[in-house]
Amino acid sequence: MAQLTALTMPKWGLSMEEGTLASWHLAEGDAVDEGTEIADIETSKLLNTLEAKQAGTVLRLVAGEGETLPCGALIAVMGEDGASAPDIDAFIASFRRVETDAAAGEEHYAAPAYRNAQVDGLNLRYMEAGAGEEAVLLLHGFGGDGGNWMFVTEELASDYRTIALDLPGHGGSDKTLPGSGKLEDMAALVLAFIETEELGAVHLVGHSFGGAVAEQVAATGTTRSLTLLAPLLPGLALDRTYIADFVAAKRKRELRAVLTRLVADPDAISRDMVDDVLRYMRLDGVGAALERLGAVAREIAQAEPRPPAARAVAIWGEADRIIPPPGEGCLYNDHVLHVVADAGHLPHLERPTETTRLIRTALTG
Amino acid sequence: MPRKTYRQAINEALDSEMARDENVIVIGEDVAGGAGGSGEDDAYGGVLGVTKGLVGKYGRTRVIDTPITESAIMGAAAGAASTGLRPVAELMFVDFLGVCFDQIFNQAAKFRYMFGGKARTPLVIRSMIGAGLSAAAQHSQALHPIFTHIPGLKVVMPSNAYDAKGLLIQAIRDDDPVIFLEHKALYETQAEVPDEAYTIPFGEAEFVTEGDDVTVVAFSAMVARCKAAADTLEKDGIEVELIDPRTTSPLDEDAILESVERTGRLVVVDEGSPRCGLAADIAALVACKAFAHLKAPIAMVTPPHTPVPFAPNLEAAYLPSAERIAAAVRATLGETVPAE
Repeated sequence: MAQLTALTMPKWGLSMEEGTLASWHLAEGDAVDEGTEIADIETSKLLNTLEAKQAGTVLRLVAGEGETLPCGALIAVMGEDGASAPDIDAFIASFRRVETDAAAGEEHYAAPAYRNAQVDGLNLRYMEAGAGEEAVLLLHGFGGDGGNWMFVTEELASDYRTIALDLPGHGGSDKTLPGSGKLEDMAALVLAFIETEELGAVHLVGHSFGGAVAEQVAATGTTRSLTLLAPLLPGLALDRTYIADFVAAKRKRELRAVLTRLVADPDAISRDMVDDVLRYMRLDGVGAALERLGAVAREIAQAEPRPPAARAVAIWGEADRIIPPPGEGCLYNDHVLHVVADAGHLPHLERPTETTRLIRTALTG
Repeated sequence: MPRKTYRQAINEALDSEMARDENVIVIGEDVAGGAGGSGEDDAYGGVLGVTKGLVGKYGRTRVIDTPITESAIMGAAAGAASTGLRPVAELMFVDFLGVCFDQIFNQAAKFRYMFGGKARTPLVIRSMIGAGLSAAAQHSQALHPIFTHIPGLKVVMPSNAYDAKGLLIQAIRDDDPVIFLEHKALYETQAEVPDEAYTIPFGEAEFVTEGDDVTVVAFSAMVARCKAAADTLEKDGIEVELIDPRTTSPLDEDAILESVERTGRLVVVDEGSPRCGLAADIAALVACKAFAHLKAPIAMVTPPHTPVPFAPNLEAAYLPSAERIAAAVRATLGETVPAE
């Protein structure tokens, strides 16, 4: 029997339990190489494109377009050209049998896990996946959480101990801010977190406000590398109305209009994403934390321009309206600036494949 | 996120606010249970177990069992609220409001107005509404329109566990009397509910589904029936915008009007009796303020004007069903529907 492999519904991030197969990019019989786009998968957050991990031929499309399936469910059978139909049928049948066995189902992907750390009197939640000598610490932006890295973590986890932290005031972490909530206080807490969890010298990846925190951490601690996605750095042209409008949005429609400004394609913001953010904003303490951090963000934007304290690779969405990409070389004399097309302020969610590839390259220096 | 029942969500809201503020007390019939007996101390937690566990944590001075005297419960709670406590008083079945309505509508609701704005009355009255459990005409009514009619009362009708927790915490922190109506058919329903405390502001509708064809407005247990109807209609290409205003007073008029301006069609679904009811109220709102946008007559789906039947088959026929709701939606689109 020819070697057949299962292509399954991916699990991008901890909260993803199912995905909808929006459209196939390929037909049965098509050959793929590593990196070939196979299908668009709609998650409760955003649409993402599933790529082939290895070369082969699409033998059978099992999932229909529009079908919603749990993570780990069989969506297609791949293998060598010329496999017989009965063999493929047998493979699908055996896969379904395995699927019904919950324990076996677990083995299709090593599920990442939420953990909690007590640091300086605060409870911090983080998502950890993968193993490796080197750790990557991912810091989300203003109003986000570790789940924003959902498309990035699985890819990085194959080589790195990958940790997506919920900053204080965000996600599942305490909503109390460290100290007086200044950038230095946030950076000190992240450093204490790195120490508590014994991560050693980490690769720091920060987005937007998390980029500001990462830069501050890199300036004071030992890091292996610094990668900044649309970072909030002193003197950059931050759209300050965004922060005020985000904090003020109490209704779903208002919030959707605000969140739409984050992305290049307005349709990328799903109902569920708006719901999740609104539910987060209703939690006790979030309003006060965001007010404080919003003020900190405005102070950073108003400060004198200066380049990052440590050598950094910067990744920016070309259509970023929140912090537009700075001109080549204007801030980054010996720093590297990558501009991602068709992406706004969330390149890691809008163009995850390309952005993850750029992050990966940045980590290996 | 953990899934919890409507009952658990309400219990968590009470627990979290009692832990946060020692002025929050619970008072009502059997809210603790077991007082004076030789058996289990925390025996009941209310007739459906919603307040179970609270007496063990907060003691009998904050979880107060009363005799079967609704007038005393509501009078004591209104008085306690005016002196600075935050009582959550339980009216076991809303059907019993007749014996304590003076304390609610002519006392608690009026204090702020009668004392020149100087009196605050942070009172929550939790009560159980609705048909569907064959509890007969005296224990099955949906009397929310009566409270909604009274200025000075805020009226909350959560349709799911997530909303129940956030709205009850909001109600307890509110400085005015709030009527919090729990539908007895919803206690076992589940939703994702955060462990942390959160609030949902009053007067802000939830858009359960979004669509451009027909606006459907519903409250409490009717929301799930409308969702089922919307799911069926979607298969035929009919897009329903289902609005759950969550509070009848204040009412999110903007959400309803803006939606009807887009869809041009309105179906209001309510479990209250049809005469002088909430469905008629919302139909009147739209007829007065968005008439020019209407493409079809407004449809109302309510029970008939009769007491709630005891016989399960008659009770089922009495309540607006997903089929009746779907038929009303089709009617606003000009589709003829075979008679039931």
